[in-house]
Amino acid sequence: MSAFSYLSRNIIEFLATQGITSATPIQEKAIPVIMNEKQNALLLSPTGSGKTEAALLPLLNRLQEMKSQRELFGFYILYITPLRALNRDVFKRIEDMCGHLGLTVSVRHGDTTQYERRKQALKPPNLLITTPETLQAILPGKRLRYHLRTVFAVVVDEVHELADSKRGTQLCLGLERLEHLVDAPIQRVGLSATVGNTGEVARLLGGSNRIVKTVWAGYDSRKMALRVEMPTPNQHHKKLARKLLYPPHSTARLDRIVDLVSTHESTIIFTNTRSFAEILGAKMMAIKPPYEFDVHHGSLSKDVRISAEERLKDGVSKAIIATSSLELGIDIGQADLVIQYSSPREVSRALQRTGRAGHGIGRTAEGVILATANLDDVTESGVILRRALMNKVERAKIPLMPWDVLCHQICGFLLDMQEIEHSELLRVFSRAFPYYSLKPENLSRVLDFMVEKKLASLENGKVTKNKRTRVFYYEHLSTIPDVRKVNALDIVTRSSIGVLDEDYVTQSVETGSVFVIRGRPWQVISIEEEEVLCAPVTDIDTETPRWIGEMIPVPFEVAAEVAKVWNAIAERNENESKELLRREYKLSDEAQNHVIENVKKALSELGLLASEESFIIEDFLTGIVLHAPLGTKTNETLGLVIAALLTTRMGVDIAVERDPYRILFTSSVRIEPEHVADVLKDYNGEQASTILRKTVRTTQNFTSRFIHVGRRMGIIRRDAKVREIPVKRLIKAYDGSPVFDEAMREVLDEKLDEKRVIDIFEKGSSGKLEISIVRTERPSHFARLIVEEKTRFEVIGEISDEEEILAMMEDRLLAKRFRLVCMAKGDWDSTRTVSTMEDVVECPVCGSRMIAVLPPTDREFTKIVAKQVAGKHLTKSEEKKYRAGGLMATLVSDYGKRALLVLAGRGIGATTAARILKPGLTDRHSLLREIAKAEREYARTRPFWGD
Amino acid sequence: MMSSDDLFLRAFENSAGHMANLDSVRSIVEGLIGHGHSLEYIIQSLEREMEEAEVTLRTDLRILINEARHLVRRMTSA
Repeated sequence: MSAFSYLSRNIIEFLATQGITSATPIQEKAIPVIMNEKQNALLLSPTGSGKTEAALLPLLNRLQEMKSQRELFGFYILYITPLRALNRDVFKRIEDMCGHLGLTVSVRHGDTTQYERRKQALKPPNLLITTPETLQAILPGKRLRYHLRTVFAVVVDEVHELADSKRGTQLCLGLERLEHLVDAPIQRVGLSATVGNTGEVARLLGGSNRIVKTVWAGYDSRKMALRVEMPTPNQHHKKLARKLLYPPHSTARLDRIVDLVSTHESTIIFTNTRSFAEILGAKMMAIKPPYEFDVHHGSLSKDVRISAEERLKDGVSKAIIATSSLELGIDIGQADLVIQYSSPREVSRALQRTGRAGHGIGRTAEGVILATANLDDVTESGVILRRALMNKVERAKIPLMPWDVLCHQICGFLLDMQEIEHSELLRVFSRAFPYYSLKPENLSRVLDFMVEKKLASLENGKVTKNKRTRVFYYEHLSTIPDVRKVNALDIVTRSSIGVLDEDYVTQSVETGSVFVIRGRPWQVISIEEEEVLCAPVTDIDTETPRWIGEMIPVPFEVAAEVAKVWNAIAERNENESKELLRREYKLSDEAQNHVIENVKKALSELGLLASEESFIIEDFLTGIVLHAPLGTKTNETLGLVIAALLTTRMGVDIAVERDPYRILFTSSVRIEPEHVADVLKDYNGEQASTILRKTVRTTQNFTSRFIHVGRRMGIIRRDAKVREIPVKRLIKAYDGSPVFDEAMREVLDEKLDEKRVIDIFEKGSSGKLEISIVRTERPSHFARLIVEEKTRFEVIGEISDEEEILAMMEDRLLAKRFRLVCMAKGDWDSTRTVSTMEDVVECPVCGSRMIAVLPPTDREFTKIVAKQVAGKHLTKSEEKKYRAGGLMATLVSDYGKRALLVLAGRGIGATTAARILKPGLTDRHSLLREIAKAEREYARTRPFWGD
Repeated sequence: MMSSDDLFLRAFENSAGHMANLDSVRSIVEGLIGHGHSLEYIIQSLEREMEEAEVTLRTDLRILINEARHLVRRMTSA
């Protein structure tokens, strides 16, 4: 019996007019389940498989039946989605059907007009499509609260998105409050595309004591054609690279993208950060491709984003370069190709993104991961792809017992109820899964805090609202980190260029910083309270833009499998390895060769390879690399603990850098590898945990979290500027409070991985962890991936080849022309290009090395030197020029051509050049890096020089 | 068995918190109770009031009617 046979004739007729005559797999399974009013359900099915209809058809069927029996007045079904854009999308699809059935539907979120809101209060739509935050807003509302009393079902879309954050926790409590209001069970239906721990997510939806049936369908029929490519540059790319001022490997990838877009109808290109989406857009614009395309990310205005979405859908543009802004199911038509630029880092991200291609039943999703020429990136891409094909998705990390959400929701409940018994509060809230183990003493502690902050009053076990309750509740509706947005404005027109996060502005942006937005480079001229004023940079040869985005963490499971792949290659011959990489990990030939070559090299240098059970401590004399493939969070945590212990042991500061596969330790003194091994063996898990918690307090991460939690719990005003908050004092004052505890929990659970590190130290201290020490003369191929990462330029978002960038800069410096004037006898004055000079620079006439370096247009200096040589009197300004020339001449005399190279750097005068040259940097690499640093410094401070 | 007046007053108390024009509704309610009218009569009177009322008052009255009918349903099903 088909699922559609459960539905009314009216509905079936309507579906037929839309050309829908049979149910999709998820609809077949879910409709009969949901028809049972008492059954809660979690529907798991790929994107575009008809989940929305699977949930709504049976519910609208029921509503239609109710309508035939009595007049409807109030909200009956709530459809909650995490994104406003999704609200729009769902609305369009459902509106027609509801209209046909004589039912009303409306959307309500932050952007809904006052007019529309009033209309909803007076004539409530039967089905309300909304966001979790808006539900919070209307729950205590006078009128709307009444209309909510008739709700019999709630559909929560993209549950996995909400589950992973406090939005989900807040929604849970919101649903408990709703059910308390309705005073009857509400049917809960969750829709999710990809979840690793379905049991927990089902409990999140249903609460700790309700049964939720999990319905899976459609994963087999979803065909995916995925592969990993690693474009390498040929001559054409190298030539183009010089023209675009873009590294050759990056150019090869760009060229491949253009090629792929040109041979497909509609392509989505995903990047991992906004900054890189902008850079790629800028470079693609520069290459003038034979198609239209757009850039799409969260910092662009709503209009720009909607326009980009429609252009792709209508076929006006062929490609869209996007970030996670396009991951969720916004309907942009049928993209037939998804390109992921460099490793997507997480399986769920890979699935969500590749799922945007072939958005429809029975279509094959084509996806290509374009890996960078970096061993980690290529292998990781292959591993993620394999896990994606097997649907091995990461678990949603549900925040448990977050105090800030509880505090906020207690306020909400007080607005709902006016007053409530302590025991009733505990009973209602502990029904929500994240608070299932909430104890009376925990609740009391939070209430005490709230009473102190005048958010509530407590007397004889009764909790009542206070003067501040309402204001606090409405000011803190959103759990999304209260990141203030700062406008970037064009300094001339004062029009908005885009929006930056406050955190980013305070940590990374300074006057002179250059960043790219909407395909154009802008330089920061000044930073004001609410605004960053910028001017367009016309010189396209800008230093690589800085816009530091958060790198997506690589999960432990992925990192561990990457290490398994490397170990597998170590044990096989070339042909077997190639077969493995091709068959299991879908790597192209170039990618296979790159991986095999690098793994074999590393093996010959280290003798063995690391794994999750077996670490290698590599001592390359100027530093230590701990090879440990444990993922981003574990390595971040492990690095913190080991560095803290080493610092205590050695009495000097230890610097730490980490990536998902290894941790780098450096210091001003030599670190013995045995010390690192000892640290791993001498401390047990509990001790490691204590040290971790002590150390975390001093980190920027914790400070940042504390500010966010502080804002959410009302101890820091929302509009307080980060720069003005006395954070250290506040942290000390609130030590031991729910605010402190929550900030610590956030860091330990969400940013770090305390549990796994405890486990590592337990194994280490009981001899169950294999640790090998290897000494190398210089960093191994694996170690170089982090040693060079440490000094790479800040092209965050793309792991690029520093060597390429330095070479390009060197070309520019060598092409610089100077007027060289001999200061000994003034008998030589010549304009020369740096590249044509010998290492030793001397006057061809008298052999003197005292050669002054001047701009080619300066004809005055020679005259000044002639005057000086002739013993004539110099004016004050001539004397000043002469002395300056003398300084430069000294540098040229001491350092020769190297001095010319340094002086060719933008804004680098004699003093800066002397500073750069003094340490006697012998290698070209270090010298170029110092020059680049000085150029950046100049750009930062240039506005103050008043040119 | 609850009288119509009692039931109607209960409905008013339950829904008063959701009213935008509480005073106006209260005076309408006071005008309708104490005359021994049936609940159906009271509801019809309210519906007549709705015809001429301003839009927010109309919604208030609708809420009140709804609540009264809801209470009746609960009583009859109990």
